Amino acid sequence: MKHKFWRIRSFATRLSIWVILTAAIILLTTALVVNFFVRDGILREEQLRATSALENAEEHINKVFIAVETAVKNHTNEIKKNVNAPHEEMYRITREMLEINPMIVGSAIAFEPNYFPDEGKYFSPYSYRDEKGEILSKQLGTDTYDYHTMEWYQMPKKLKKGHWSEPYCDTGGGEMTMTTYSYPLTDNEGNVYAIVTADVSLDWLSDMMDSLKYYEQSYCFILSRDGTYLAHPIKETVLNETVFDASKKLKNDDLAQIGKEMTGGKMDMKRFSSPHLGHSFIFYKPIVRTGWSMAIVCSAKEFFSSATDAGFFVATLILVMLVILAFILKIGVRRLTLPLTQFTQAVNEVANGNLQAKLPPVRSKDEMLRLRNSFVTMQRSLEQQMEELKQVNEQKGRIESELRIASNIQRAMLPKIFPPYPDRDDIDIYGQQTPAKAVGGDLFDFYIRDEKLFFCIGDVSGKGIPASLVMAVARSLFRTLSMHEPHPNRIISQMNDRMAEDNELNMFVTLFIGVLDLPTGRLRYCNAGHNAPLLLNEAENVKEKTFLPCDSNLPIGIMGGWKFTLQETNITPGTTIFLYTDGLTEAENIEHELFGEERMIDAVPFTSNSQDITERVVEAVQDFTGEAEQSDDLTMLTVRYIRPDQNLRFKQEITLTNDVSQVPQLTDFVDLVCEKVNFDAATTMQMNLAMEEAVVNVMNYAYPEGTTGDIHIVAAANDKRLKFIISDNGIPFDPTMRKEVDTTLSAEERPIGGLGIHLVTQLMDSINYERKDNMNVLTLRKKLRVEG
Amino acid sequence: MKTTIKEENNNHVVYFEGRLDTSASSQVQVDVQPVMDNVKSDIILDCNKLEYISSSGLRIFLSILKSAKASGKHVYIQGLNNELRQVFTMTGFINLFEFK
Repeated sequence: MKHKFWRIRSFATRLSIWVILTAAIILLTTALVVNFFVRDGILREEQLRATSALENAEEHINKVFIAVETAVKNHTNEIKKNVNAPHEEMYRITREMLEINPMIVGSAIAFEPNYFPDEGKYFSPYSYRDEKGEILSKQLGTDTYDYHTMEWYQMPKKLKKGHWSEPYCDTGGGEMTMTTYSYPLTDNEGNVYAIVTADVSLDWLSDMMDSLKYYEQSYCFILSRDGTYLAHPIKETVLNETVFDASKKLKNDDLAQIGKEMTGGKMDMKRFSSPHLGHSFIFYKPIVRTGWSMAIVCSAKEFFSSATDAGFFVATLILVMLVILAFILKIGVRRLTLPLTQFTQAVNEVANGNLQAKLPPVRSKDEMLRLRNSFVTMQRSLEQQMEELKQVNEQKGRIESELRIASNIQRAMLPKIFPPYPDRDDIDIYGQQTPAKAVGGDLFDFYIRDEKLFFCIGDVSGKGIPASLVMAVARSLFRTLSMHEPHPNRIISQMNDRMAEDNELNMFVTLFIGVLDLPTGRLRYCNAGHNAPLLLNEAENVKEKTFLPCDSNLPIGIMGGWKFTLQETNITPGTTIFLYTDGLTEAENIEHELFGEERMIDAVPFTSNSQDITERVVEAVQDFTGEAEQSDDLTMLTVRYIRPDQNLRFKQEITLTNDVSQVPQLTDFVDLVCEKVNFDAATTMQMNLAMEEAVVNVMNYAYPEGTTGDIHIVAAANDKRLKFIISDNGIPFDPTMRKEVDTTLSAEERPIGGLGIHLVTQLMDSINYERKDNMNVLTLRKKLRVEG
Repeated sequence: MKTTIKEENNNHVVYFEGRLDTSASSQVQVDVQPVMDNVKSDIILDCNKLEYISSSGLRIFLSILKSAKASGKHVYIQGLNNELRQVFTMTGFINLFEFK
């Protein structure tokens, strides 16, 4: 796996690398700077050394030259003194000069032409050393050697002062590099009459230059005034070559430049590329006395060898130190960051739930300790918070479970067995509630009493427990009050009065109560501020959806004593009453659009099944809301009123007058009907008893004494049940409103009357009274025994 | 409907025979009046041949019971068939009478 530096995971490694890098940069920079200064220092020192060496050499040369000059001058007086002495004296003086001064190899006293008339034009006594070192003398001037024209003669004569000749090669006593000092002798008038000379060998110059060599690979040379080599390690060049010739030959312009400066009498140090040593340094200095210039050339390599060696040493040292540093860091940083690794493990353990995870001990009193302290604090507070969270959760769990129980209790109040009346063929009911979050305040309820369907739907303001409590109260009030009161407006009025009392929380309930008389389809209803139910009328060739017209009444619980209005309508068989709460119309999608009444009307289908209707509406709402959270309870109650006379098996009618003597006819009629529906003797007797009681009641109460009237009885049966409809046009009389008989009273306390209706309700499955078209209509039903 | 009153073992025994419905009840009321007028002993209502009884019949039974109780005498019912016993049960009359 390839690791890039910035991707290295280990903090320790990264830290080490940074430290080593930094150290390397610092050390290398320092080393470079030191090296630079060392080299600079070496250069300065070498310059000093070279200069002093050159100065020493110059001094040495000067010493020789001064000695020669002094020797010459010292003899002038003697020459002057003996000028008139025998001419032998002149030879002696020259010889003496050589004897006294070993460095002088030759000396002459050259006189003006014809100075001594006896000597002729040329008189120049000259002494010199031969190859063996013996001093010989001769007369120098001849016709072939007219010394008067020589430079060594002319220059001092013209300048009237001592003059050193340009070095030259003397071939007289073996090949030698020589220079001659000429000094003019003047008479009292200041006229030059003779020139005294001293020849000096310059061979020692090369030796001296050789001795100047202080590096193995250095060399020295001397240039004459015109740039001729006077001394050079390559002997052949001496006097034979100028520095400019050499420059041309070697194609080295540096050399020519340096030669120019040297012959110009400059003193300096220069880098240059030497023909012999390569990259070099040259130090040069003029010899003022002679106008020569000398130079020392050193190889740069050698020059700086000590510095280079030191540099190598330092580099090696740095490398070694970095390796040691790396090693120390590896151990040190690992050790320092060890707690970090351990912290990581500990924190991982904490993260995995072990809040007691042991933290590594930290002995140092630094950031690690602070980090550890922070971890300890974190661990403790985490533990504490976990504990608190646990408690809160327990508490929350308790509350939630209580809420769940409340929700269950609340939902248990709602009818939940569907279909609720499987053996009824005239009614099809389906109710459903989809609660928003927990307990809600929607309610619906229905039950059948005396062949009347009491149904209601309501919505308690607010949500949660308070709403559900109010809902429970409303529901039980509905059940209790409707038990003895068939008019929905009165039920609602009483509920309102009860709920308006002590309504400190100002909770209110919108409520719709309907009472549907099942045999006749008469719907009485009262709406206390609730959404108007939707009617789906599906009669022959008609399909229409209309809202049930509703008076605007207050919701219940707001103002006690409010007069709620009663409304009535006839529901034709095949009509569906669709009741809902605003949770349906105000269901929101994510764009906060409301489902609305129009969508609801479209969503409610014409089908023959109430459950199907409800489920299709729920589906439509869910399609509409999509991901949006359900904000309110969604409660629907669908009541389908089906044609009651469907599948009629038979129908039998009889009309009686209000005379109890007609009872045997009634008995015959009932017997006949019971025979048709295959009732056994016991049931037949019960039917007789119930019918007799019901009819006699009508005879006795609908028609007051002395009046006569008819009692029309219809017996009808389908596959499921037998039904008797007893109708009369007497005064309104509702037997179902009679007080219940208390069957537990003693003989003395028992009233004589009231037994009849009690028996009817006991014997029949249902009893229903309806005043319709100025008729009392009493319907009794009895379920047929299911065959098989 | 036929109602017969007999004295047996110092008791008044009333025999009911047939259907005691509302149309028959006024006659029966007249027939049992002697027993109620002068209660000298316990009364036994024999229902062995009673086929049917409606609330008007039950009311006659109750008035007999009330008269007897006023004189400190007992009323016993005997021979009640199951169907009629059910009617007595439904009305709570089963608790009022003593059965033999």
